[in-house]
Amino acid sequence: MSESSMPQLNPEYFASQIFWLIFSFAILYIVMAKFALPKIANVIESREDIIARDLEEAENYKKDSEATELKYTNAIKEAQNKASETLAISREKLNKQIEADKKAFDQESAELVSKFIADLDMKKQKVLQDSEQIANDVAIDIINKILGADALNQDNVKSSIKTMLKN
Amino acid sequence: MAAEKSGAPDPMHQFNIVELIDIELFGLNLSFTNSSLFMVFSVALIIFLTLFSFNGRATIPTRLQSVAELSYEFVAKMVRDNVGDEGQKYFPFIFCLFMFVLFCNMLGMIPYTFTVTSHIIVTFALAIVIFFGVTLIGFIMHGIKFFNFFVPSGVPKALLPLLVVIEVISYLTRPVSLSVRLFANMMAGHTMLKVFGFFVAGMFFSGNLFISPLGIAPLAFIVAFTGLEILVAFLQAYVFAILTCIYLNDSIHMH
Repeated sequence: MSESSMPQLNPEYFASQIFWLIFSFAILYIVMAKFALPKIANVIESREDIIARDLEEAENYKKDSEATELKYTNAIKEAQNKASETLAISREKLNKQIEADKKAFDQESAELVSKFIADLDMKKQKVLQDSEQIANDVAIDIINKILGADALNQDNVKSSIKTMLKN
Repeated sequence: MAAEKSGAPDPMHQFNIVELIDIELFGLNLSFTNSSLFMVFSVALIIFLTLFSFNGRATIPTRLQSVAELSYEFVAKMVRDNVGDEGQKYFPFIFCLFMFVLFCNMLGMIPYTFTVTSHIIVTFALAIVIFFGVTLIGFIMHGIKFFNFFVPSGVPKALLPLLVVIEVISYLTRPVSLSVRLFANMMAGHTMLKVFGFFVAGMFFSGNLFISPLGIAPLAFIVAFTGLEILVAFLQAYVFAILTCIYLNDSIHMH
């Protein structure tokens, strides 16, 4: 208070302040210019390099993966085509086989059927013939049983009729 | 000290220089004072921030490393935008200037510390070095043609003498305006804080039941004003550095 109301205007410590300012600022400048700033620049630069390299790498990986994907889809498409082709061929083969088998079967079965029909006709005829004989025999048998053993005898019939007429 | 004895609070007391270690060299008082202490402390902090926060040059920076890198890129951008590629040579100086002023200002915001930049002699010493340095660079780069800097182009011949005088005066006042701007801002802000601090103390301990609670008002003002002062502390460091860049640009590129 006694010297000045503003300590800033007191020249007593001007020299000291300038001296220590130069001293500390010089140290600061030397340390910054020689060590700190190159180091920071280096760190920032190397980080940028790393980032650029990583980005490039990522881009490459992306390209690779795209190529792989293309290859993969192509392979799948190819396989699908092949499979459908194989399927069509085998289906055609199978169809042919089935048709041929069917034809053979039809032929065979037709033969068999016609043979059976012929056989059946023959048997039918035979049965018909047999059945006439059987019918005759049965009729005679029945008549015999009912009217006596000789009912159908000519004479017996004539006599029978005569007795009936007389009555 | 004197203020306390006289009883009246003195807001300028905070700017007093206190000798810590007596040093006398070449008949000059070069004592290590509280001012010197905070200069050295600022420098130590800056060196710590920029040099020792880098552990093994990590790609992913730690917080402190991020701060250092941000300051580096902030100043680098400032130099690049205002001076251009020729300014890269002076980047370390601008960086030191910005960081030194910033740290001195910011340390001054902590209560009971000393604000180095609140003394005109410090800011003037910085400004005069910048002034002479920039002028020297101008003469080295342009030789005698650097005087053209004071001759505005496209002006009537009759007005030229007057304008040259004005240009020279404005050029010569650069160190004054540069140093006074920083010094006055720091001093005014700190004085204001102190004055309101006295208000708070005086009102709280007035013993008057009505006045005591009202002390909260200047206290609230101090809180807000401290925030503003922190902004000013940064802004003045920025202004100091960017004006140096502009002066440098004038010297390198002329108009």
